[in-house]
Amino acid sequence: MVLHTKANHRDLLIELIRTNFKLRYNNSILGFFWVLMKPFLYFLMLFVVFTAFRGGEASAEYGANLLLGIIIYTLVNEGVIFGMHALTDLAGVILKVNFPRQVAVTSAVFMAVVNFAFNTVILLILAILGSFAPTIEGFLYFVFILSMTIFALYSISLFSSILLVKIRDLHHIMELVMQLVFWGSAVFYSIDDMSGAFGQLIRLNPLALVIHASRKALLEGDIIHVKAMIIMSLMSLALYFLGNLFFKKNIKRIAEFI
Amino acid sequence: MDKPIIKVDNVSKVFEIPHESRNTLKSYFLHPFKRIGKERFYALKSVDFEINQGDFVGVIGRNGSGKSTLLKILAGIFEPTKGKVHVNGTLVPFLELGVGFNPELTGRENIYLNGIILGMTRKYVESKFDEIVDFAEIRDFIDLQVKNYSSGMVIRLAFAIAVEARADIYLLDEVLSVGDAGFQKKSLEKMLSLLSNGATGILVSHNINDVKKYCNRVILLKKGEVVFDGPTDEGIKIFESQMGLMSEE
Ligand SMILES: Nc1ncnc2c1ncn2[C@@H]1O[C@H](COP(=O)(O)OP(=O)(O)OP(=O)(O)O)[C@@H](O)[C@H]1O
Ligand SMILES: [Mg+2]
Repeated sequence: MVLHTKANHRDLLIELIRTNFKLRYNNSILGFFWVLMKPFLYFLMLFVVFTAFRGGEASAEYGANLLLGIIIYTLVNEGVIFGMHALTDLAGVILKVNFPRQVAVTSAVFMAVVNFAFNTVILLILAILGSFAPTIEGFLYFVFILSMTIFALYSISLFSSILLVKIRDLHHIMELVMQLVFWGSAVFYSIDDMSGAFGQLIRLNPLALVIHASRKALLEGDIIHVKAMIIMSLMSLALYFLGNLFFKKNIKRIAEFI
Repeated sequence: MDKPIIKVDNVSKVFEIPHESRNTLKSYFLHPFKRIGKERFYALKSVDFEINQGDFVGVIGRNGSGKSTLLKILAGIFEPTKGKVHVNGTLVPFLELGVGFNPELTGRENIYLNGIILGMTRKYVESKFDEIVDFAEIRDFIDLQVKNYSSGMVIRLAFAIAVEARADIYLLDEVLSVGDAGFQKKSLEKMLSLLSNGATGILVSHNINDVKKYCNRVILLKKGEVVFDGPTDEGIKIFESQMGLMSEE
């Protein structure tokens, strides 16, 4: 038996994802069903509330926009939270076996992506029901934005997973930050409706731009914020290289602090 | 012997122990400019030895003498602060209780997870599955969550998985003491058969009789320093006289 081969690294990634799933959904179909239901229930709640605010008139267009916003926000929120806990969740193993630790981060972020993939099923149903029909260019642009977002989430997790080991209350702070991000990311409104200083501020929020561009691309076939997306891709790339350096430098001593 | 399988070259391990703990943002906010003094603590000091293939080496010493730290450095879990470790082969660590099982998963699921974390492929674990279950004698409990296992059952399962790794080097830290007498005998005998097939073992144990019976050499640690390295009987004598317990023979 040769240990720690390429095939083993692949199996390790799959096994960690599988384990994550089992633990999070209690190994049950019902648990798995919750992945689909959570954002959807959130959606229903916000839809009812904001429809009431907007004069009580339910609009399929608002619904599709809201749902897409929630699903993307959920991806980012889970990516940040799961990614941050990637190392501490495996503390017991990290203390005892020397395995390629970056796999832990990959599996954590992947988990958020898998959840996202399942959530898009609801979106697909809406598209089939005819509330919107994506164009090919719009769809491809949406895929590009998503890939960039996931890549950024991975890069951020290279930092946050290490930092959480050293700063134990970081997760409280991050939960608050993610709440704030929810309000400031145009999830249940559109940045087009925002003006003044607050509007300016929100336009500086990358997630607000990601959500806005995704909506326009997928629901209306408009390709917007191209420059911003390219800048964000480059920033993610820089973050990825720095994150890798940071991770490699700190991971060697992580077992002492975990 | 041409080349040692493990070479520990002047290794020191320093832990920095802060005078107060600072691992929350709150503490940074409350006292942003406060300097926290640190104590440099040598858990290992200039440790130097070589181990040849086929050796079964006992590492003994009092609590806190650095035995677990040494094994973690050999396993690549800790980095040495100074010095170098050369390991010429595959290594399976088997350190302290728990061994990285997930209590919420069943025995079956943990066999796969643990085997793969130790470096096996899923296919290989599958091919060895029955052997593992039989060796651990937990066939009836295989689909029970590990949190409902007794601590002896956990160790048996962990040991059964680890031996299937067919590694060149096994590190055993205090793990066999939990199993019942029958399992201890069986597992140490299994270790010996692996050793006779060319494996190398390092055993940390407070059970002097096990060390006496199985190890052909001991390393005695005292406050992070090697104070003896040589034949088992001699090393144990020195250790026992240090502890003020003269052996009864
Ligand atoms: N992560 C760590 N941070 C700070 N100090 C540590 C750390 N790990 C170990 N130490 C210190 O290093 C010293 C040696 O610990 P170690 O666990 O190697 O002892 P040991 O010989 O295995 O003892 P025992 O017989 O009780 O298992 C102890 O004083 C311990 O407090
Ligand atoms: Mg110990």
